[in-house]
Amino acid sequence: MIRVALPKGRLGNDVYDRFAAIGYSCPELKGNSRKLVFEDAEKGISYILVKPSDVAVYVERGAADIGVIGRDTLLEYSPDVYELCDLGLGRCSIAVAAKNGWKDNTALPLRVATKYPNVAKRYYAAQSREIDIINLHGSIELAPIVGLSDVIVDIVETGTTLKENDLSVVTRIEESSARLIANKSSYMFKKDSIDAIVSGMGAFAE
Amino acid sequence: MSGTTDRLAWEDRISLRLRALYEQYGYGRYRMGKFEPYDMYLANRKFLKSETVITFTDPGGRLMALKPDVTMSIVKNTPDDAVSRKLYYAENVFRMAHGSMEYREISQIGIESIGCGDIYSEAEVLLLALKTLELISEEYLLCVGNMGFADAVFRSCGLAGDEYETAAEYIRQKNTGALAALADRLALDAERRRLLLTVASVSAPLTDAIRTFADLPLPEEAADRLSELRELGEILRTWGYADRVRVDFSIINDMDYYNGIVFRGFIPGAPRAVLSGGRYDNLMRRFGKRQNAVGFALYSGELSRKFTEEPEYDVDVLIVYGDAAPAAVHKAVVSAMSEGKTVRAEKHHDPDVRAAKTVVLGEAEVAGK
Repeated sequence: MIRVALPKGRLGNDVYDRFAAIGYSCPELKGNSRKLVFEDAEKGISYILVKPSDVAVYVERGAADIGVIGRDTLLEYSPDVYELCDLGLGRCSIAVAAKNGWKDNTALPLRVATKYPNVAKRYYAAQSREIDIINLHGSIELAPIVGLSDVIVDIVETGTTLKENDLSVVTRIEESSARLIANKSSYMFKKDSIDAIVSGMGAFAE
Repeated sequence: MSGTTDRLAWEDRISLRLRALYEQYGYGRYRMGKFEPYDMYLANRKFLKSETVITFTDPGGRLMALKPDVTMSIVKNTPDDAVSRKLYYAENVFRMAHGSMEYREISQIGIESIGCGDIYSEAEVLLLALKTLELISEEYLLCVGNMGFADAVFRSCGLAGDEYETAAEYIRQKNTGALAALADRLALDAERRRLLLTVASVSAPLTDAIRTFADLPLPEEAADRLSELRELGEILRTWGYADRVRVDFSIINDMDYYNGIVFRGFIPGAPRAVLSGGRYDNLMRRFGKRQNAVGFALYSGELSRKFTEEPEYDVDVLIVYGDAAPAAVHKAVVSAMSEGKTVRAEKHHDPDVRAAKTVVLGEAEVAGK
């Protein structure tokens, strides 16, 4: 039995479609069920749907053998897991963004609002720029508009939200997309099944 | 099952068995003091799994540290003129757990074999690692890699500095996608690119792994390390452990600490490696010791959750004695004990105590809940 942790939401649905296409379907999952665990004993697969940022926790601690997670989250939490392939889904950038026309005042520490404090700290430490981290959990774009921060470090897909709020990208820090990760111990004991899934997923790569 | 030995916690039972195993092979016990001056850790903090140690000031004003690591303490304790030392330990150390900002008390059981570091002594340590895992679980795997092998491959690919570190991290993650991108950036030829990716992806029994590398451009140093692995594998095969050993370089570790062979033990259901070890001549040199050394530690604490079964009962026999005379109560206790049962005597009936059998003194026996 391979236990898969999928992120709830659109990415999770897209990834599930790929799993189904390579023979690991579990139709119940697509229904309007409130269930959290979906299992197909015959195909030897079970899925759990969890908050995207929690996928790494389930996999690292072995409650799931494999999982799908954005590289942005891997960079933030650095879980001790195998990163087996890039699914090419959910592409986005982690970027620094600010109000249009913003200029950095190097006389003061830079106030950075983000839900990626580790990524932001690493990036600015490499630039030797002193920062003041403001941890937020949502609507990061609001911070520079209301003067809570100078810049934000957040994921940017199309940039529409930024544009609508009079913000723009200053620098792109990292590129992100969905990755298939595996628990290190599970991989040792379920190598053949996990490798089969990885090569099945590889067939979708452009 | 009842009876006192079965009631020992899983961790205690395993600890006793492992200590007997190590003593059979001539390893003597090393007892570690719980704390020592902080200076040593300050000078060698990069060797610690987490860089933070718990410190406090002793009455003399010296900054002391609660020990985060046993191996370092054994290395420091090794006399310069010692020909050979074979030691085991069962100690608790204090470390920051991975990914959390909290200290943990971690129980470690392990061995260190210090001396000339010949092939037999390496094989013996691997054998004891396998036997350790075997005592814990029917199913287990020992993944073996070699630091020198990965190092030689990295250097033959022209990796240095940050790129070397990055490549090592990708190998640890089995991140072949990122390694392929790195190989492209370095403009490696197709064969070297394939070699680098194979180092990351290989996870196979020894003979298969050696076959995988057969047609790849191995630098001489790497080929030597691979034949050392083959030699070790051959010994373990004759000892009956071929199926339990797997070559996997994703377990490569801190290069400043380990040099030759490194290994990790896995058992199904435990989310991380439960056993970790390798050859650490580099650490010995760092402390000015000329001997070579190889050893491992088992992190037994992480396992007790998996193996501790919730007992059906707290006690075999509960004696509710009410107003019975102390002598009569004791007689009933001793009588139950003589049948090999665990006994708890309580004046009043306590519904929270789960007993296989409840005896109410002065009345007829009533069945356990």
